[in-house]
Amino acid sequence: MSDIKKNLYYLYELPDYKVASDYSDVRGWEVIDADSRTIGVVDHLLVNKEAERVVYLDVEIDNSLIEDGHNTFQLPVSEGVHQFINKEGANHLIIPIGMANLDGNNKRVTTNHINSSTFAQAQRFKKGDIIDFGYELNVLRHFTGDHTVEESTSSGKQFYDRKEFDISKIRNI
Amino acid sequence: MTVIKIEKRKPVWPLILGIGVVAVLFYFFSFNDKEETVQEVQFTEDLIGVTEFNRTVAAYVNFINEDTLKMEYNDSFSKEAFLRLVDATNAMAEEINVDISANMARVVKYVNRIKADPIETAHADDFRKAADILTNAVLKSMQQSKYPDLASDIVELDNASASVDPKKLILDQTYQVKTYFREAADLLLKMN
Repeated sequence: MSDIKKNLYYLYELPDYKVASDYSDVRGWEVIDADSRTIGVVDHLLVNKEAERVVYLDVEIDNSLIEDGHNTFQLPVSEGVHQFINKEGANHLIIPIGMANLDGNNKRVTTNHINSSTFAQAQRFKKGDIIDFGYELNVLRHFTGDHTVEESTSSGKQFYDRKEFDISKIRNI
Repeated sequence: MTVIKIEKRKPVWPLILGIGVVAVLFYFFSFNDKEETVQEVQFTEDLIGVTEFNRTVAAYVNFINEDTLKMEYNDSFSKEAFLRLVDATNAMAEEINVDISANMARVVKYVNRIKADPIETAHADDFRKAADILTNAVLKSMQQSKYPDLASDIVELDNASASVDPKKLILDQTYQVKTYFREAADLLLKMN
């Protein structure tokens, strides 16, 4: 994670910014996957400063999901494609905001597009690690299953104009 | 639509500046209020002294307060002061409906003798007698009838009277004489 994406910041790194009024600050909300399973809690918000909006939810995931991920790697190759080998202590992952739904009444984040298995196999990072663009691409490809997402789309704000970052631009993901 | 916008925090310094301005204005107006309060109090005191006070009592108190020759015996001042004190005491007794006429007649007898005595040879015996009667027979009866809280003031006035040595010339006891008049003025003020 050496290629630091300068447009991506944790909200706490920008003391001059806050979640805009009329929008939910989802930090602390539970994250429920497509299988209705709680996979973790939103720990931080990653924002694109230029677009002035949140583009990823940084989720601290449950240990149970991590264990599921380990089990996945122990399966024979014939039973599925192995994804990322996560380091010990890596218990965070990011979810593109456009792939999440906010349930303000119950204060939880749901996603209809990512199931437990996909989460378990996603590449994770340790809290405090710098998130680079390569990691963003990996996550996006993993969650969308679209491995054609090219690095050439990495030019600043345009990358976050994808449907996965703003559900308002599409009807269905 | 899943969007979480962020926005720049509003700068805090205008708020701090505003609070500072409000604090300064508050302090300024509070300070002025205090001045006004003091003025009001002074006005009230003046009102008590001039309007609400019995005029005769006020005249005696003002006469004593206006005396600035603290260490110099002034014969006409002392005689005038005692006459005014008698008048003020009568007026106060009338206000509170206490009959002091008999004892006051005894006081007046000595006061008239003070008036007649030549200053050079006048001993303080008549002054002392007049002061003792006025204190312990007249003013004390008024205090006991209407002002139980002023018992200590009567004691102070009695002490002032007792400090006057009847065997000495009155012109040598300026401080004691004036102290008695001031204590009497204080007592009459409190009675009002």
